Amino acid sequence: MELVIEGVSKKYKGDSYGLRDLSLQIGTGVLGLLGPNGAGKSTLMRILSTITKPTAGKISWNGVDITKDPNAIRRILGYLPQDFGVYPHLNAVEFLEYLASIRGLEPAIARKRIDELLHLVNLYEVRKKPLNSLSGGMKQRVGIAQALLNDPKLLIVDEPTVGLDPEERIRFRNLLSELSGERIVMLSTHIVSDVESTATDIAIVNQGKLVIQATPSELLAAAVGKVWEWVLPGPAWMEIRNQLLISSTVQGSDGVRIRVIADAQPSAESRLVNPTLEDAYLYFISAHKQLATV
Amino acid sequence: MTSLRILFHMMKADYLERVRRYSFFITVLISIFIVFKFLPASDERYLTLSLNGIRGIYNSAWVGSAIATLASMLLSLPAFFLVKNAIERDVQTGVGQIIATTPLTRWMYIMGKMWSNFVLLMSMVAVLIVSALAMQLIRGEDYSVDVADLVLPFLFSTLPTMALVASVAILFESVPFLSRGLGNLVYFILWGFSIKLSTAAAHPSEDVLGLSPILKQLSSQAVERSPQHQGHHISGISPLKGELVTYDWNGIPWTIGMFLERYSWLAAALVIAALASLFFHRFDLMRAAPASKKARARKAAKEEPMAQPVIVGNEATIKLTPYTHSPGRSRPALTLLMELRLMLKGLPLWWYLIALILIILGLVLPVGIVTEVVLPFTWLWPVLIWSAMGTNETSYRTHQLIFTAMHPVRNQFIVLWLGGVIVAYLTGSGAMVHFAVTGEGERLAAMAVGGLFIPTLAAALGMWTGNGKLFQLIYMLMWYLGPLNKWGVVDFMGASTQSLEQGVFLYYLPVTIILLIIALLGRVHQIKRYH
Repeated sequence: MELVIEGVSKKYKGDSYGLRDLSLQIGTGVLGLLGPNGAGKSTLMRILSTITKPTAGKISWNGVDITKDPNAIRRILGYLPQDFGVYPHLNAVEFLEYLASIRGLEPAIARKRIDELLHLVNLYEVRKKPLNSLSGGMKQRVGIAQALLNDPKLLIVDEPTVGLDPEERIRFRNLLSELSGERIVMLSTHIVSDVESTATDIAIVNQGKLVIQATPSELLAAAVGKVWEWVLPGPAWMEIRNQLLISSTVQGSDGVRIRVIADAQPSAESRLVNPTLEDAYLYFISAHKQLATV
Repeated sequence: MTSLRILFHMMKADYLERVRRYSFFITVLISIFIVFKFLPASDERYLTLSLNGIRGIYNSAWVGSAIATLASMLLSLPAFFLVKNAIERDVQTGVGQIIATTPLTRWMYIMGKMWSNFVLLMSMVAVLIVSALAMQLIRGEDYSVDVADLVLPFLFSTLPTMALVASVAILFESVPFLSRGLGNLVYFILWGFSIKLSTAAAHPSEDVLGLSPILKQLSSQAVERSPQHQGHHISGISPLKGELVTYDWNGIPWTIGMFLERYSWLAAALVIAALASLFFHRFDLMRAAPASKKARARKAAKEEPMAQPVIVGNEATIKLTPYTHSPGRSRPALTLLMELRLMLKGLPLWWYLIALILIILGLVLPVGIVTEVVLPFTWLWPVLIWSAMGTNETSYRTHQLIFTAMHPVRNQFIVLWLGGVIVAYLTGSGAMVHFAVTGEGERLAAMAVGGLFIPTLAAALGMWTGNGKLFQLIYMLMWYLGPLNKWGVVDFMGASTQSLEQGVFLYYLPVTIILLIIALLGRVHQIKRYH
């Protein structure tokens, strides 16, 4: 099971690019796709889910070019878009049955899976309520259920935790980990903590280009020796805050504890600390931005 | 002063946003074309504004009056559809939520939108005035231009009508149950009544569209000069039988009193806008309050699960049944059932009751009444169901879920179309059974064609425009002219004996096939649009 993306670009009118010559090789497990807003994550997701076609490059699923034969991937695809709607007068069961029929699923198994999925996403109790009476988070869970209807071999989820409360967010992460065994899961997000616990592989994209594809431990290793922490009194903090790449700040009684990403020691009082995935992400994005401006 | 400034800037921003839209440009082009066709050359074999085959020569007074009455009568229908999205756009773009946090009052907002509607419509009227002048010179029956004769009919007739349309559109957008398709239907009925009322009005209070004084003057002068031609002027399209007779019409002796009486409708427009501000939700979309205690209780019960905390289950205990079949197999019967459920679910009980009454009336009333009266209303009733065809994916943003399924065109297009046809045949089943039993083969065939034509038109227009408005407009206009007013050419369902005898419905069969191909291409285009 392999998804190969080779030199994919998406060019829009007026010489602007959504993606530029992006290549990735993805095997089973969870690939966390990280990047700032507008980096091209959703464009890539929409291309992989066959909604959009790339203007250049090739994408193959187990050797079949999906830009030429989109149905090859649609058979095994589960897709949760970033922004989607539901039919307000149908209830969750009816909506899922509708999508199952459109996808040509075997009715008996589809009905069974719909029941199970509604339990899984915690919507069984409200399954008969019209969808327009459900909250945003509940509708998002309907979206998660529909993505899993056909037991997909390739599951693409774009910003899936938007609108979920913390409890549901954790449940969803656990669910992704469980599902990842015999399939490829692509999880696009700009929230680093979403991929921290689930991703077996991480790809960082910025300005439509791939910055790096690596395992979480490789990313962390690359940021070792580059994360510094110290406490600054309030006024001093105001002075330096625009000069350094700050990963986080915590207000304390003795001042502001700041966490900075830098190749060299930024201050005599600073000390090296172990990087988190968020630090590594910031390090790579910042390095990529600097490279782009050179 | 501050209020006026706010009003001006709101109106300006809204006007510029709308006037730069493609739909406005298209509407202007169509309007110019209609003006061109509404003033036929002397060698063409049809008449528009005329009295028993005679018309005035194309001088400024005649051209101005003809186009002004046309605009007041006909433009007032598409104009409503064109401007009935002022509030909706602010909801969709999210700008409304920003506006809601400003000190802007409901009244100011509604007035700003109403004026923006009005200015937009008057821009179109200005284009019509210029087109009318151009047509006077192009036809060349009278080259002397009298600006007052040309423009005053527009100021008398069209201007207050457009103010009314602008304010009614805002009112309908503000009243929850009128803000969608039902409102369009209600407006269409009001529009039909207004035409009937205005063309025969004895007093300005009955003359909503400002037609009566112009039509009366036209007729009295025509009768005076050509006594053998008795009757009233009609605005429409009629075939020219025999030689064309023209007369030199001097126009209307306008008085300030006439304008004062007519402009009382502007006050009515302001009252309507004020009423709209009372209903306006001010972007609190949760506000829509149910009318009765019972409805409130029902709504509360419906919302209960939202308020309750979600019971956290143990996902480890839930095992999903593996799906080992190969998905993507076409299941047309099942998908058709699902499409029908999607079409019919959520309609109120009274909708079904009235549909049932129409079916029964189709079964029990005499054939003539069924054909001429019951049938037209039977196929007006499901107009909102048809107008959703091909637009649901865009309206409810489900396109990413639907179009990522296998063979989205093959698996869904035909069943969607069939669903629309089934709705037509189901609602028309009373009349169809009646015709079959009584051996009315021609009437049955006409209904069979009509039942194919309507959903196909809906699908074609819906898939290309992404919303149901254009279908509603075109269908209701066709319905009004053809099945209701028995104009043979557009009687696509055989609702008059004359059109049945002429076999008009047969022409709609190839039209349906062409529309079906257009609809299919529209679906392919919808899918490719995201590419």
